[in-house]
Amino acid sequence: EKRVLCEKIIRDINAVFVKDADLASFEIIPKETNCNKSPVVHVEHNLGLESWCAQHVYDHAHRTLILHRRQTLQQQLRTLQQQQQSDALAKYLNVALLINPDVTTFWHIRRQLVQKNRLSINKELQFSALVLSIKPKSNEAFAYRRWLYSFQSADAIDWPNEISICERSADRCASNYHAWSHRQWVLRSGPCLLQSELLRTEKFLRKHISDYSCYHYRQVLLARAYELCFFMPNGESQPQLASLLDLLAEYGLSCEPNTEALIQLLLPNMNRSAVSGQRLRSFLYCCNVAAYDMRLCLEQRALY
Amino acid sequence: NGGSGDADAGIQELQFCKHVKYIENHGKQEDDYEYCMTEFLRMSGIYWGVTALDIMGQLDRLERKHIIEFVKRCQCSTTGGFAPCEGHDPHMLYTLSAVQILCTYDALNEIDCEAVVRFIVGLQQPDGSFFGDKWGEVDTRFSFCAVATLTLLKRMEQTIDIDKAVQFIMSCCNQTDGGFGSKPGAESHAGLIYCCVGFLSLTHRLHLLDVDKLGWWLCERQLGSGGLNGRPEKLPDVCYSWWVLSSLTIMGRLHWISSEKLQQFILSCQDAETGGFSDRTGNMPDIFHTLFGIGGLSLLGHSGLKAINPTLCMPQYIVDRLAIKPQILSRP
Amino acid sequence: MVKLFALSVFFKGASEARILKTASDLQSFSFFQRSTVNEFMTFASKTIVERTQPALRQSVKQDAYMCHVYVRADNLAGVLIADHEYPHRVAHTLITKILDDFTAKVSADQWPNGTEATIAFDLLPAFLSKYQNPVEADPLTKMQNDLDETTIILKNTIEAVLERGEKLDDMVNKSEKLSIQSKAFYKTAKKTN
Ligand SMILES: CC(C)=CCC/C(C)=C/CC/C(C)=C/CC/C(C)=C/COP(=O)(O)OP(=O)(O)O
Repeated sequence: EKRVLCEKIIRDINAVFVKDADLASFEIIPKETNCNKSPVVHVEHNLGLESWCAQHVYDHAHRTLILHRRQTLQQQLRTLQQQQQSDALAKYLNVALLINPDVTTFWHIRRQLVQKNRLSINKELQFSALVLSIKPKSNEAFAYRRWLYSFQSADAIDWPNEISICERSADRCASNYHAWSHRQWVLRSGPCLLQSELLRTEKFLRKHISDYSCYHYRQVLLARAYELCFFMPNGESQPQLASLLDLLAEYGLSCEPNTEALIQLLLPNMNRSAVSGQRLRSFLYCCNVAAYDMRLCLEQRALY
Repeated sequence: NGGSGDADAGIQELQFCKHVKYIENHGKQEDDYEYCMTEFLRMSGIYWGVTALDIMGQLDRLERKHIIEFVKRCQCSTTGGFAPCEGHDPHMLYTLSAVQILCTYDALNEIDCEAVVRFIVGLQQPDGSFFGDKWGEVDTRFSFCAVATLTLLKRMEQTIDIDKAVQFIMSCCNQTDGGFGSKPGAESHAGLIYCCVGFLSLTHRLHLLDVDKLGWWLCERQLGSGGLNGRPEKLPDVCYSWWVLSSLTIMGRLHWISSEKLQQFILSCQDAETGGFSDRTGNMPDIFHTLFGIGGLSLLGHSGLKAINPTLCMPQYIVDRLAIKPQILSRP
Repeated sequence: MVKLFALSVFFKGASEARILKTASDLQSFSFFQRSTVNEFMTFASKTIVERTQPALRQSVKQDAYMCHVYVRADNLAGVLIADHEYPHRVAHTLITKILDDFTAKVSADQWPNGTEATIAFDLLPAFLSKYQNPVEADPLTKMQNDLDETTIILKNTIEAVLERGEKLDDMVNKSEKLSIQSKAFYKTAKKTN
């Protein structure tokens, strides 16, 4: 009888998946008793499951999946290859992973289903985003996304969306290690996002004053900018170096506000012919961002 | 609080018997929801319990035969790696735990060790890093697991490319603080610092560390409460008593933190009713924090506990029995 | 995170505190939690106002939140709920400003019997969004030089605000204003802590 109930709940949850292509969040709603209504709640693209049944449902889905996994390899393969059976498997996987996103083996079964074309990459990206809505720290979900993207060409990937997912996860959990690591992966794999990332993370820092992971990420941005010989393309002939000049002034070092004078001051013995103009501009650009961040930290400290 | 009359309310004693009971009972709650939810890391769970009990001199509370049978059933016949539990997939993390358990029980002969070696060797990548399993996630944790497992099996020579592996670990070192992250560029994290320092200790490459810089960052992890956090601006957590303390011990810098205050913090995280340690004072205990609480106390020289090896997180007498000598720097 | 969750104005009557106006921003909570969090914030605000002496400022810590309360000598009270990183001084400056504006718009004779429906004061939502960024309050803090941070009483839990013999658990159980859902939520939150 409990089995029947669990099967029904799992069906209800999957019906929501089918009906709502824009499902944005999942959560377990604290409610200790069964009041004869469906424990599956669906409001405005949000899916909720009442807590009294989560244990039973998980237990049931888990049992079914492990049973599948304890069959012989041939038997497992047959299940994966048959449409109906693999659909059933996917249903249990959805529920089990939403309730317990840490189970690596369950993510692996999804990978196998993707390889057998039983699950679509886009739907899987959506599903892992849904898992991140309930567990923003889930490294399994981030790793799964990276794996899914390995089948797509870089220009087919919605990189800004990927950054948004990192940001949302970082917003929900302070110093979210895996979200920031994933963001570094985006930075390395996607198009040049340096400029927008510097702006976005500054805004983030002003709201998350003690999120050290974001400060670290800004260091990575700087290192990357230097590595790529990046500087802000600007209309005028002079790059903007106000923060750097201010910082130098604080140390009592006055300097004409132009590239030449700054290079003279910072790198007096440099062999100019060995270094490209691009590299020098990038160097000054990075110094300026660093000086800007130092002031940002001081400002934050004064305010808080 | 132990409530011992006029004693200072802040000072607690180690609830030795309660912890033994806690660990002993842990495996017996098979129909517990929590037990079901943590099935995916069962092998490590057993390692945590076995090691903690052995450090307390109570290994005989668990059924050796039962555990060895379980471990044997988890070895994957195709890959040679170990799954956390039957029905799950093999992974580097549980392979190390399995081998650690077998070493503690002196039962390596019960499994196919060559298959384990093949599993690990097969996961090394051209850049020297290691996958955790065939699906390709890279992490410095897996590098540690690889060399720790091979060390315990005495098969580190002529299997993996050690120099490349070392190179990869060093590419994860952050210049600003001397620490390590999970991948190149990733933020320094005490747990991963343990993995990388432990890795360098097992491969005898500790000279590659900037000991002063890293030691400084590690001792900054101690907070006013005496507890340690794993990164700046985070709360203290008993498990970091292990990750930070073991790293400092390996680097010969244990004296850089206040051991009395840390000891008090760890003891304050005991559950006086049920036994076991939690991450922070007043929270629910679990088996993971119980090992690292006890392991931390052992590193601090708490009486009544056996010595623990800082690199392998196993009783020292077992590491000695295997004649393994991870590198350790002496106190300057 | 630096975050403002809720602002409210109360009148502290002889037996209980009346809510006159409130606004909240609960976007950062998960969807199904929002209504219960809202109930809880109102419950906590009311409880603290009732246990704060007139002419007193308190900042009370409860889990991830800070409840900043000021009850004026004339029994008009303001509550601001924020996270821990929102600067205390800014919070209290804002409360003062809100109560001033409120007094200018709503005459005192309406306070003792007012309800959210009858009180015409709709500035709270604008306040809530503008001052998410505490830098915006800079001009205000400069104007209100007289607010001395040492006069703010800091309390570590709501329990510390309660009267002798009172217990938060009992109050939650007894409260008729809290739904069954909220009570369940309170219990689970306690368990997982
Ligand atoms: C033999 C022993 C004892 C261990 C084996 C080697 C392993 C697996 C060590 C794990 C070390 C460890 C704790 C790594 C942390 C990984 C990480 C980046 C965690 C970040 O996750 P959060 O949940 O954000 O954790 P914090 O909030 O505590 O930083």
